[in-house]
Amino acid sequence: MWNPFIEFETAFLPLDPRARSVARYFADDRARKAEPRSGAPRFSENENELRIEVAVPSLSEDDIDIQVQDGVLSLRMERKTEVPAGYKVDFSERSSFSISKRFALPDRVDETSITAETKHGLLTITIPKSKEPEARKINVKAS
Amino acid sequence: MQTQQFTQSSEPTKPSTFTRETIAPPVDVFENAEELLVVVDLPGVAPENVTLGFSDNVLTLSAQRFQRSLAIRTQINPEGIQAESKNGTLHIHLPKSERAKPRKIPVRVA
Repeated sequence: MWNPFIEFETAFLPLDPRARSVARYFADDRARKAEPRSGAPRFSENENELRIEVAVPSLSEDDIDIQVQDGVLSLRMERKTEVPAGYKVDFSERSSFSISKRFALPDRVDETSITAETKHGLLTITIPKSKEPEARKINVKAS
Repeated sequence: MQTQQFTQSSEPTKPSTFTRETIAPPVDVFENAEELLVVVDLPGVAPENVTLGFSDNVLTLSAQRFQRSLAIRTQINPEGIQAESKNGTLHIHLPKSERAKPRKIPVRVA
């Protein structure tokens, strides 16, 4: 049985060494409960498509770079939390992050029809499944 | 010199029965002479699903599974509280009451 999610999870490669600070951030108990967390993808599937959701609060579409090449989907994004001009910091928990992830796509997807959109700080990447080729009956001829 | 302005007054520990538990979203608090600015990440939450409350100097935020309370030690003008949301991040403006603002006393030349 084809299980794309095992492939996704094992294909998960943090490429940026700075991502380690993000890992520390997620080690925080409160943050770990967040679902989905910033940069932590959530996978789902229905009969027509695979879906990857990533929390990207305060990022606009220009801050997110998604590319597909040779069956690998690359996702890069960076958030810099800055002190607004004229303010001083009283309390700070929100962190900057720079995330670069790669997902190996399963064979039976339509790479050319992948779409991505952000809504209220949630990025959704939709990967349509390609049609399964119909079983073809091979007639056996009696000779 | 002020020490830490904000403390978390209550951890949202109460687990919901069968649904997802609540999460305390990360918060930044900034300050200038006029106001406190609270910035909260609420990914995936539409602005209309955010409920804000302010009483007894505690700011409470409830937005689907996100919940957070902040005790505020600066005098605030509650009527002036405003919030706006962009890309899943909420900015809450808490205007200081007149007493809490720094006031310049002019020195007259005698």
